[in-house]
Amino acid sequence: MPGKGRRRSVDPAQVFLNVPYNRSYERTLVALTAALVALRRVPRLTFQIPEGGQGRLRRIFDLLKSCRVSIHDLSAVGQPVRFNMPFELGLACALKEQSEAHDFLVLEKKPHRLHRHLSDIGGIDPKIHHGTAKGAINVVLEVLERPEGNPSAAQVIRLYRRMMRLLPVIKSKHGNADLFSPRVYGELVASGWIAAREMGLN
Amino acid sequence: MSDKRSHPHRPVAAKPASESGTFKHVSKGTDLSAVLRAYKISQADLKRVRELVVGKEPTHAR
Repeated sequence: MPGKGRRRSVDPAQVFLNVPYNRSYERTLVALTAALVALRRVPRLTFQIPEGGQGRLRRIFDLLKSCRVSIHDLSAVGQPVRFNMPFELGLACALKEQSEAHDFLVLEKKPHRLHRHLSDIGGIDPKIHHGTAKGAINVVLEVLERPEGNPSAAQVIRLYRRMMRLLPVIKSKHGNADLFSPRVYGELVASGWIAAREMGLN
Repeated sequence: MSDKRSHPHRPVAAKPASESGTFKHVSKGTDLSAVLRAYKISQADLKRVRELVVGKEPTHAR
């Protein structure tokens, strides 16, 4: 197992997001991010890790280990086929087996579909977001909680809409790079954080 | 000897909360500095992002 036996501190505020990196998923990723920011959590994604090279798997596993919670969206089942998401879910399952200091959440777009593609996951019920921003926000608010109570879904949706308005401006500052780059995504998270503060959410 | 595995009324153990995907994780979270560290955002970049969100601070001309 990669990283076995290595000590690394687990940050309860960090959430590993294992999601499709394609344009059709942008809205869902912004919605998940808005919910995490409203809960004062820091989303972490593998595009923060340089592509290729030896040790990438180790660095992905170390990033996963540093997060108390991981969220795995297995809704992308079309072409092109990508195996990274189920693979990283496997890493999270292994981590959960090794340590109680990790919990993971599986997301799907449609009910009853995941068990046809991944029968080994029997016993783990995915949360269904229906491919909507509201659905994605609701599932995050359902499993993650602040001690003083969570903001309402309606408040988080307002934050999401504000972040969606900021996104094209941030992209244009970076030569219209897509959301799935550390610079654009990082600045979106920071802008969401500032907006949430201004809206009295965090 | 009866086969317990085929018993029609065999009780089914409840799934542990985290295994069924229904865990609840409570945390007070963190602050903006953790985001800046995670995404290597400089103070200059932060200033630009802040201006994007809240607008430029007004300059008070005399």
